[in-house]
Order: sequence, then C-alpha cells, then structure tokens
Amino acid sequence: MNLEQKDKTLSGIIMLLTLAMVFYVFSYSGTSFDLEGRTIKDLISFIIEKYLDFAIIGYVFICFQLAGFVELKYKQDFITVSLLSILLTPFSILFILQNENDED
Amino acid sequence: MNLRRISHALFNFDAHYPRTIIATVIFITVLFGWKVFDLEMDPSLRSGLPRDHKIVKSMEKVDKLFSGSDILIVAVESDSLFNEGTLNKLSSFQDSLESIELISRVTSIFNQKHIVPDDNGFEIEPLLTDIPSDSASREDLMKRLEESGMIGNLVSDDFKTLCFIGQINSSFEYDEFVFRKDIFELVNRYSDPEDFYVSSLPITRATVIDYMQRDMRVFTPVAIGLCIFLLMLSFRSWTGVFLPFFVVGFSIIWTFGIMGWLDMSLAFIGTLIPVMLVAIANNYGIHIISHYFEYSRLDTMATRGQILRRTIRKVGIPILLAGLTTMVSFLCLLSHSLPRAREMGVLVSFGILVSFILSIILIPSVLVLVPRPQHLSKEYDMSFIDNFLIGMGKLFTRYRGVVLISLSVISIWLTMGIQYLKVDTNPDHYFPKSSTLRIANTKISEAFGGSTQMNILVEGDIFDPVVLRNIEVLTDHIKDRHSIVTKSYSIADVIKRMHSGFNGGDPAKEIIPDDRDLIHQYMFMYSISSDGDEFDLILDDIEEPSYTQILLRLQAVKTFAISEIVDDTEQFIKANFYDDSPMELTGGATLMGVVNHMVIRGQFISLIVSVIIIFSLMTIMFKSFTGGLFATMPMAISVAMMFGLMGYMGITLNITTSLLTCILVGVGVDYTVHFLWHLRDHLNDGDSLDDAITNTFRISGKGILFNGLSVVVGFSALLFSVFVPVRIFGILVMGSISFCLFGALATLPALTSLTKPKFLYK
Repeated sequence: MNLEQKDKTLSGIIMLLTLAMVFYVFSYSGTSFDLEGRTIKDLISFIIEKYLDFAIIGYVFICFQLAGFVELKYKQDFITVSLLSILLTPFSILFILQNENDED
Repeated sequence: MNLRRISHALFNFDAHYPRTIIATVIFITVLFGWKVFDLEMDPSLRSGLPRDHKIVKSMEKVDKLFSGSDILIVAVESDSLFNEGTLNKLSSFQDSLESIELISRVTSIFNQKHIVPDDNGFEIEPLLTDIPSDSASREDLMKRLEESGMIGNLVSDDFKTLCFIGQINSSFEYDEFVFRKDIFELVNRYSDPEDFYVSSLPITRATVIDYMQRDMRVFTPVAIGLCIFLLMLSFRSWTGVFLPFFVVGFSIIWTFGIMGWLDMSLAFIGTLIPVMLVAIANNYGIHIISHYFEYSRLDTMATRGQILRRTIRKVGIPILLAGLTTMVSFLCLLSHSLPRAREMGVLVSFGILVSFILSIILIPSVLVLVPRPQHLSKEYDMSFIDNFLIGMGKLFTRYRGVVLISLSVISIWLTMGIQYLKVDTNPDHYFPKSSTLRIANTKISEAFGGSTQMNILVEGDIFDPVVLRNIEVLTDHIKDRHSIVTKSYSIADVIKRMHSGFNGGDPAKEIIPDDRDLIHQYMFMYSISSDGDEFDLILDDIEEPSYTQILLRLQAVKTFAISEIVDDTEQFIKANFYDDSPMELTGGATLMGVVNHMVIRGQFISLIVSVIIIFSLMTIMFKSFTGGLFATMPMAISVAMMFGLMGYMGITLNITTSLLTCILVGVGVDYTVHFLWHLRDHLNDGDSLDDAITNTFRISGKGILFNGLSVVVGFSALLFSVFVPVRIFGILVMGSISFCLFGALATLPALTSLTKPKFLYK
C-alpha cells in the first residue's frame, strides 16, 4: 500500500467514525422536530421570525462553498462567482458553466 | 533544537497524510462541538468573585444576618398620585411586590410607621391608616408625610412620585434574569396611566449581561463577515478566504468544546472569546496563504509541494513567535484577582494554540490537495498593493529622520494623555441616554437620591451609647465628605428620633441618650407598639443585638467614587474607632467599586508583565537586546498611545476596556516579529539592507498588511455593540492596531536603515 492509499484508507475510517459519532449524538440527544400539523409555510415563517440571521448566514456560507468548488474545479474567478451565487442564487452558477461549455 | 528539521518533518507529514489530517481535524471538531451545545451560561455574580475577598465574606455574613444587601426601587409617577383610585391600585401593587419570593420586605407610604410624641412618651403610628377619599384627608396625609421626614425618601417633594423600596433577600444565590422578568411582568400589569420606573443594581447587571449576549450574537457573524470580505479582496480565492476562516471556526468550537467537556460554564466575560478569536486566530493562516501565493507567483514552474516546503520553512518560526507572544499576553491574565478573567486568559490562549496548530497542519494539508488559484499564474493585478508597499518602504527609509521625529512627537503627545485617564465604571453609562434603564435610574436618582446602596456592618453591643455615637460620627463623616452619598439609615437615627419623641418632639433632644437601659426601653416600647419586624434590616436581634448595618444611599454607581469612599472610610475607622466595635464596608455597590479597581490594577500589572515577557522572548529569539527592543517598542508605544488617547477623549478605563488591551499586546507585536524576521532572512540571503527592506515588503508586506487589516476589520464589529463604551473602545482598538501596523511598516524600516543593528546580520 503506497502512502496515498494509506492516507485515503485512514481518512475514510476516521470519516466513518465521525459520521457514526454524529448519528450517535443526534439520536441520543433527544432532539426531535415536531412537524405534525405544520405546513412548509409555517416552518418558513418560523425560521424567518426566529432565525433569520442564521438562515442568511447559512445561505451565504453555502454560496461561498459552491463558488469555491467552481473556482477550483472549473478555474472561474472566485469573487465573480460568489457574488453571482449570492445575488442570483447558486443556480446561476449553472448558467456560467453552460456558457463556458458553449464557448469551448 | 533544529527548527529546519522540524519544519521539514512537518511538511512531510502534511504532504503525505493530507486527507488523514483533514479527517482527524473534522473528527476532533465534532467531538468538541458535541459538548458546545451543553455549555451553560452562568450570569451569576458569585461565580465570578474572588471567594476569599473580605467584602465577599462580609456580604455572605450580611446575607445570613439581615437577608441580603441589595435593594430594588420602583418609583411611580402620576399627576394624580394621591387620588383614591390611584392609591388603592398602588396598595395592591405593594401586596403583589411583597409576594415576590426574593423580596423580603417592601417599604413605602403604605406600611411605613412614624414616631408620634404623646403623654406616655411616644406612639408608633402608620403613616397611612386609610386611603384618603376627600381633599381634607389628602391634605392631612401630605402634612403627615412632611412631618415624618418621608419627603425625598418615599415621596418626592412635588408629591408626584412615590417609591417602593424592596429589600432583596440574597446577595448571590438567585437568578437575576428571573428576578428581572418577575419584576417587569408585575410592573407592566400595573403601569398605565401611571409611569413606573424600576431601578436596582441586580436588574442593571442582568440587563448588561443580556445585552452582552445579544452583542455576541451580532458580533461574531458581523466580525466573520467583515473578515471574509477583507480576505476576498486580499486573496481573491476560496483557499485564501476559507482556510483562515475554518481555522477561526474550529478554534472557537474547540475552545467552547473544551469548556463543555470540563463542565465549565460561560460567564458574561466569556462572550468576548469569539470576538477575540475572530480577530486573532486567522493571523497565522493569513501569513501562510500570503507567502504561499507570493512564492507561487514568483516561481510558476515549482510544484505545490516545493512551494509549500518553502512557505513552511520561511514562515514557520515567525508565526510560532507571533502565536507564542499572543498566548503569553493572555496567560498573563493568570495574575488576575477575578477567577473568570484568569479562566478567560487560559481559554483564549488555548484557542490561539489551536489556531496556530491548525494553521501549520490543516492549511498546508488542504493546499497540497487543491489546485492553486488561477489568478496566480496571470499577469498580476495586485501590483498596486506591491508597488504601494515597496514605495512605502523606500519612502520611509529615504526620509527616515523626518519619519522618526514626526512619529516620536505624535507618540509623545498622545502618551501625555495618560495623565487624564480615569478609571471608572458606571453601568448606567453603558447604555444610551434614551434607554429605559438609564431613564429610570436618572428619575429615581433625582427624586429619591439614587437606587444603589452601600452597607457598613457593625459588630458589638449595639445598644451601647458609645457604639451608637460611633455610628453617628461615621455616617456624618461619610455624608459630609462624599456628595455621592445622598441618604443614610441606621439604628442611631431611630434611637435619636425615639429620644426626641419621648421628650415631646423636642428637636434639641434628637441625640443619642447616655443611658443604655433607656435605649433598651425605647426599643422595647417600639417593638410592642409595632409589628416588630421593622428592624430586620438593621438589627440581627431586636432585644440584644450584636450586629447592625448602616445603609448609605448612593446617587449613582460610580466605582471611582465608591473606591474613594471605601479607602476614606477604612482610614477613618482605623483612626477613630480602632479599639471599638469592628466596622466593615460591605454590599453589592462596595464590592463592585472595589473589585473593579482591583481588576484594573491587576490588568495593568499583567500588561506590564506580558510586555516584559514578550521583550525577553524577542531578546532570546533575536539573540540581542536591541532586537528585543525593536520588536517590542512599536507595540508598547501603541498601548501607551491608546491609553493617552482615552485620556484626551475622556473615555474611562473599565473592566471590558482593560481586558481588551491584552489583544493589543498580543497582536501588536506580531507585525514587528514578521518584519524583522523576514528582513533578517533576506539579509542572510545576501541582500543589501535597502534591497532586504524592499524584498521584505514585496514578499511579506502583504501578509503583514492583510493580517493587520483583518484584526482592524474584526474589531470593527464592536461598533455594532449596544454598549456605548464598547463602541468607543472598538474605534480605539482599531486605531491602536493601526498604530502598531504603521509602527512595523514605517518605524522599523526607518529605524533599521538609520541604525543598521547588528542583530539583523547574525
């Protein structure tokens, strides 16, 4: 087994352990989501009312990570992709990539 | 110690096991993160106090003897205060207030009694027997209030405001948030059309903590957002932005996680930890990324591994030194008298250690795996910053004399402001003038002389005329000398009034009688003609008391003034009653005043100690006294300039502001370390001094600049604080960090080119 394979195997085992721990934590923490009788609209209203700041932070964070992926994978400009992704939702990245393919 | 070998081994580890390192960091983060959710906030005063402090001990004694030393004042304002309906409503409010578990006794016009002289001596009569229903009985009540001396105590002199004074029956063992909620729920039920104002030190404390939590929820995302924005502009790539960011995030999670695993609670002071880590923890990552990008651009043919090896070799030691100095500055908090400050010092140091380790292990592991940003291979766009930095270096070396003289003059002038620096903490001033809490405190202070109480505990034969006269002399002395003390109440006042009453209300007889038995008889007469619980607050036993307390009402919580009262009173007691009954100052306000000053004094000592340790470290690392001086001086001068600026601007030094200065010491030295280390590296590579300065600016200048800017931007989050002094202090820290940055990038090139110090050529 060369070093890279050894590295991949070890990291795989550790990630599995991490996942197992996450499941364990959630299943034994007693966290439950009571969604009975709630519509999606209620849920969204609840999030907007109580956790709007967290929702915005989460959205922006996801946009940045997607922009990072596009930058590293498709060699796009990170700032441009990030701004487009945040302002026009991450779906706009698909159009950029489509446009790139067409130009190629 | 072969540092080169260590950095080589470190690189090999990063290059061979990048995925394992990333997976392990995620695993440990989940392990720590698991416990973050179990972390409990602990807003109580008790947990943050030095247990062996004499005032804490005396407060515990007061709790046992008299059930608490804090008071609550509820003032009610109305144009028709003495109308039958309003008085009936307020009487019911009094009953509801008394039913709150934490309130042991409520004093107001509805239950206050007064001494009325009669043929048999005196009678104890309630001020208000029946709610007046007509104007004649209303006039009668007002007259009685005036005669009994209740104006300014329970009713304002314009008869438009009356107050309820509640005694809180514990100094420590209660939840201030629950107490505040109960009080405001009650007040909201009764307010309208009358205006209610609530004031109490525990309520102010709870509000401060509440706002700090709100600040933490705002600060952390705002600081992170601003840092991300700056890093985006600086590095223009995901690796440049998010690798330092993840290091910050992980260090915060690990720090809070370890608190959770160790069953520690999060005190209000701990809410500053994320802001500090956001501002500091990304520094090491920024230097690694900046050098990695710079070397990539200079040598486009080199592989990622080669560039990384070079980066770690070049920046490993300076970032180790930077991390070490920052940790030292926080570990110096261990000399603090407050357990919570010591705890915070250790925790922030742990966070910095984590961020340093993750920066040298995690960041290179990711950099090994991901391609370099596309813009590094292009004709580059950052030439403006490069040219600016190189131009700046040349300018400062060319006009070194002018630069050094100008900077010296400015820094001497700013440092002179220290003479105007005041140490004071008035929690009221944390809030804007328009805040409900400040309006209530001002209102109550104007009408009733304040809502804060200082206590003096007296031990001995309390009915002994000598002891009573001592109490009288001491109270008069304090009131004469300290205008902040607006009112006082003690057993001596009661005895004097009874003696006067017994002598037909003769004002000349309002003195302490010489006969102990007579005093005993007065107290006996009082107790049989009243409920007998009037003296629970000031006597431990109504028949043979061995403890009493003097209550002093303060206009405002000014810790500077309180500290003066404490010092003066202690001296007065020692000078005049040394052989008599022991007297000691106690109470929440006294504690606040004394502890605040103790903390700030301790903070100054820890600042000086940390500067000395950092100076010694730098001297050892550069193997030169001059090297130590060059590395430490810009930071030390910046700290002095910041205090001077605070003095000129009239900003007082308090717990928060003094704690935040740790950051300045820890972070301020980073820029000089990086500059001097890289300058020495270039000189060792054979560059002339001028070329070495230019190359230092070219290769390391951006790292130093972005690092400094990220700290400034991180602290700009403080501008969103609810607290006025924190906002002002945010501006000051931003200014001081800029001074440090400027000191490294302007003073050092000028100074080194002028003096050509030998340590740089070793």
